Amino acid sequence: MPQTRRIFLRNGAFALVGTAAVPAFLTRSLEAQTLAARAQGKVLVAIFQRGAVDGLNMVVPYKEKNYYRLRPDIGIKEEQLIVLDDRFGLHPALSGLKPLWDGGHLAAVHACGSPDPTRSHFDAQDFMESGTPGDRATTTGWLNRALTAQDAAAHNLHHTALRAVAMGAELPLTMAGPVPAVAIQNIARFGVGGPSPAAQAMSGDFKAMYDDSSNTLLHGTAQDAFAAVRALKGIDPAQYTPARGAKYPETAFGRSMKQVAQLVKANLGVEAAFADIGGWDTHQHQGGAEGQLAGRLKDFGDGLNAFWTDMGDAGENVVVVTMSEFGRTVHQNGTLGTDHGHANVMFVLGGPVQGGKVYGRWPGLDDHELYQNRDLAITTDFRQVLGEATYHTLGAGNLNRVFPGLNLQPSQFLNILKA
Amino acid sequence: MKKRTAGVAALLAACTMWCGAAVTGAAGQSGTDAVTHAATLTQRQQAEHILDRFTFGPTPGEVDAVAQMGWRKWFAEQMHPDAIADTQLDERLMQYPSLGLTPPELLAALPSNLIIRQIALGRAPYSQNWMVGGMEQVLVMKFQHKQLNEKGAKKKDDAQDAPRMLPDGVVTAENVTDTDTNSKTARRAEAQKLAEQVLAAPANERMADIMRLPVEQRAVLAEAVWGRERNELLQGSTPREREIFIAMGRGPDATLVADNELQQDAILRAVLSQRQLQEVMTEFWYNHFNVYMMKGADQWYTPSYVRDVIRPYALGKFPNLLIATAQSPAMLFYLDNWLSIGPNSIAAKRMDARNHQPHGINENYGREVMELHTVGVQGGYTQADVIALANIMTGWTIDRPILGGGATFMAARHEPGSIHWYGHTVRDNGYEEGREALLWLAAQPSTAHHISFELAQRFVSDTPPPALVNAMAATYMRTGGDIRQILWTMVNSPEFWQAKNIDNKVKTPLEFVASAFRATGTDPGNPEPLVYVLRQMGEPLFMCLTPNGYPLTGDAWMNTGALMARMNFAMRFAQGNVGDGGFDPRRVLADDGQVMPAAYSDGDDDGVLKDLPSLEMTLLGRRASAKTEGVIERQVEQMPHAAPEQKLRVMTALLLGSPDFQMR
Repeated sequence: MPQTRRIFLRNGAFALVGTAAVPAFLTRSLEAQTLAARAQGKVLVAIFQRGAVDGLNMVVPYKEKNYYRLRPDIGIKEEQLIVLDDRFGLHPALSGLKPLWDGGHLAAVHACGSPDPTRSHFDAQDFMESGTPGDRATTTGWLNRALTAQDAAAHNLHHTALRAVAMGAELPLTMAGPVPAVAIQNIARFGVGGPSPAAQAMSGDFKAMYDDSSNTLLHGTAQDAFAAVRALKGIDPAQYTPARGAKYPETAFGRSMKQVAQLVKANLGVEAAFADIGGWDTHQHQGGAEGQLAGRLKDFGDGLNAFWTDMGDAGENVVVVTMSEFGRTVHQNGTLGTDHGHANVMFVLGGPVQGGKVYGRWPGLDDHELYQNRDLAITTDFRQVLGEATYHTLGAGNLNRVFPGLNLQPSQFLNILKA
Repeated sequence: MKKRTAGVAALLAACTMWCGAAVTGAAGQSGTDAVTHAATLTQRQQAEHILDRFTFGPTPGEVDAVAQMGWRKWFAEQMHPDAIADTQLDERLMQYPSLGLTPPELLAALPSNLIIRQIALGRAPYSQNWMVGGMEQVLVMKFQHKQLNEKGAKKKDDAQDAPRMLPDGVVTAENVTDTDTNSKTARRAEAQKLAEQVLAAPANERMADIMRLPVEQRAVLAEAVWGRERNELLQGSTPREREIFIAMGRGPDATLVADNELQQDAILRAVLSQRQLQEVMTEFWYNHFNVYMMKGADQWYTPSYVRDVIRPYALGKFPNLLIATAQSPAMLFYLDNWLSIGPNSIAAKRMDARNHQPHGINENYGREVMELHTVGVQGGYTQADVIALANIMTGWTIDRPILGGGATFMAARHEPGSIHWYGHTVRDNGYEEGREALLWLAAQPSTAHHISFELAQRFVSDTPPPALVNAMAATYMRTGGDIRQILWTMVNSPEFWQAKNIDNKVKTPLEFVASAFRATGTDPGNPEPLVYVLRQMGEPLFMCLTPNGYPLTGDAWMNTGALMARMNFAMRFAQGNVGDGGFDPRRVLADDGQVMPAAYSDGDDDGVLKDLPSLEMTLLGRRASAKTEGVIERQVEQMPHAAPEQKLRVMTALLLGSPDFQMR
């Protein structure tokens, strides 16, 4: 194990000493919970809708007069909606989510978001990914820290090289941190050289060179990389057939979700996965039931539907959470789009989800109920949702490590997941 | 137009005093501190270290040359880039016409999406120039297609892929049979035909011929003809014609072509420029004063930002650089200051009267200029200071960014009254308040420390020695932030030459890729593919989203995907599959660029391996580690029947992908 990581574990141990004031029985129960979570092989999948999706057109509050008054052209009419309950309806392009909702596997959390008031995409994405709104200095992501929170309690567990996987060329901030995390753009091309014997020989040469490198950083990274390559040996993406006729959209997001499903189903020890989907910054001509936003939502909904269909029974141990940096203005703007707003919607999908329900206190859309006279107000901190997901899925008992400074307590969970 | 220019002139005039204060002399060249410490290294090791730190990697023979002249002389020469001829590079950069343009000129030459939209909506005229007008026709058509596609996407989905319910209640869509594949083949065939037609004409008439084609066919041709075919088609065309053809092949946003040219420019400069220190420092300061090129108007402001703001000041005085960035449209746009309106300003009162949208100050620049650009996050300022500085900076704005206008001061937006900020009072003085505040920040010891720390982190160690940082900060304070003098203090320090600070920096992706070309003496030819290589390695040039820029430390650049990308790059590179001409194994061992020794050709199997040490010296500037060398020897021994050329390729690939080559 590379030195950098040993140092980290020492720090982890140090952190444990720091919380020695916690009563012993509590520590024990946390540990037990963690072990149970791991034994079940649970997986947390985080999906980021980059660019600030218009949550009010994703899960539409169709009883709000102001919604239709302020969105005369882009509002979704009640008869076009997929009605969820007596307050909310899904955008028709999200028809892929309806069966998941009806099956009780999908929940929504409305009026949810980051307490930081920034309307900058970059800041807000960073804050949501680091899990520390307002603090730019954080260089690690909440999901990576969640895995360390688990480590601190159960350091003797065996983790694989594919414990934390992000789909894409770069490792997103969400996944950055001390736990080895792998960025994979394409499973088929994740490796050194091609399948030819010559390339394989050189791959072996590289491994030998790095195995003995005295540079701990290079040594450690190479070990993670070659371990991940080894772990991936058994699976052939070209031969992968999604189960139960699941049809992934032929899009970047569809490909990401397909690969996440393949990795999870191959039992390679994935505990946390990340994927993102862009194109949500609909400042102009975003459309209503049809159009620009509808096209993006179809990709999103169909991708989730395919993933869930494909997972089958394995879905029992999977929790998917979706997020976006902030919501959009309640009123449509002068170019038939929406501008940067505040609160938004998150989806939670998975086996342990108590779905078919919109969670969170609805603040209303009357003029006096709006945040800064223009946006949906926040009534749920996004970290309450992510905290609950990490706590139950990853056994991240030490929530202060996942969301430092928040002092999040399990009593603040919305109880979206079965305990 | 005239008004915009005047605005720029006014702002720049205010800076004349600073800009005019030319940096003279190079005190410290004769510094003696480092002599004793560098003395423990051989001349050659000294040369290798200084080249590792202040170039994008040594070229064949360069280490020996610098060892002979002495590193001090080399460094002193590099300090004055204008005196260094760079004709090879200059000639290559002629291929990129957009690089010399002002933002309004750039928008006229390669219109943005917004301008194409205006033309499409009939709100702006087509260009009178036949070539530009012809390109605009294609871009407008693409814009309209895109609009239709976005609108039509949903309808098509409903008609063709009606969701159906499966027994288990899961919705699925029918297979989205890709008609695109068929139409792609058809379009390619059509493009081939058109290309042959155009090729029949003499080179200097081809663009006119292309513009005479119907708009749809023009687009088909430009989209489907790529790579070598495109080169053939455009052989003899002017760079401007090339640029237009490329824009028609992409679009509707033609400004992206200029952005791509800027990325190629940066790669060519890193690999080919003789003024390596200037290029290294330009990269350093751009990163320090980072803007994200893809944020709106920064698409057309970034090229001039690099050219007119960063590079000319890269070896000047820090306060000048700070002011130049503060009043650049690129920075004003990126950190939103151009939108900021003083709450009690005349503009705010007017907007109140008209019951206008919410308005007020934007804190973005006020915060970042302290946290990132000057005093640092521990500079001791408060949130109130952030707001106060944002108020001070109100009125620093841009005259119509959509048109590429210049920076200007809009007094009506400026917050009136004296402002208490950072422990003192800034008197009510309009534009001068901002200048005064920025110069005050530049003069703070915390700024001297912050800048020195970053320089030391970039050029000495991920964890800079405090004594070195203090010495550099002292020079900063003594010389008014003279970047050359601070660098001299650095290279004259004992810390710079300490064994633990040699070969201890992980190369960034740009450093890695550029150094592979430089070490092997390979010309990148058309560097466009490298733009995408760097993107895949996590360093898309000029495209770091966040104002803090790309990280300076190695841990951030090493992740599993990134490392494998480097090994794969090394293998592809050595096979000659990267770059136009590609790596040539027959030349890699010859300093003077001649072909490989004749001894190899008569089946001398050991010959190649015998040259491994000199290959290591060429590529790494030093011998490889025993482990790396051992692995390579074993590999070559296992391929007795391979041609010498192939052995050299394998040796090169393994060296470029080795741990040794990842460090500088």
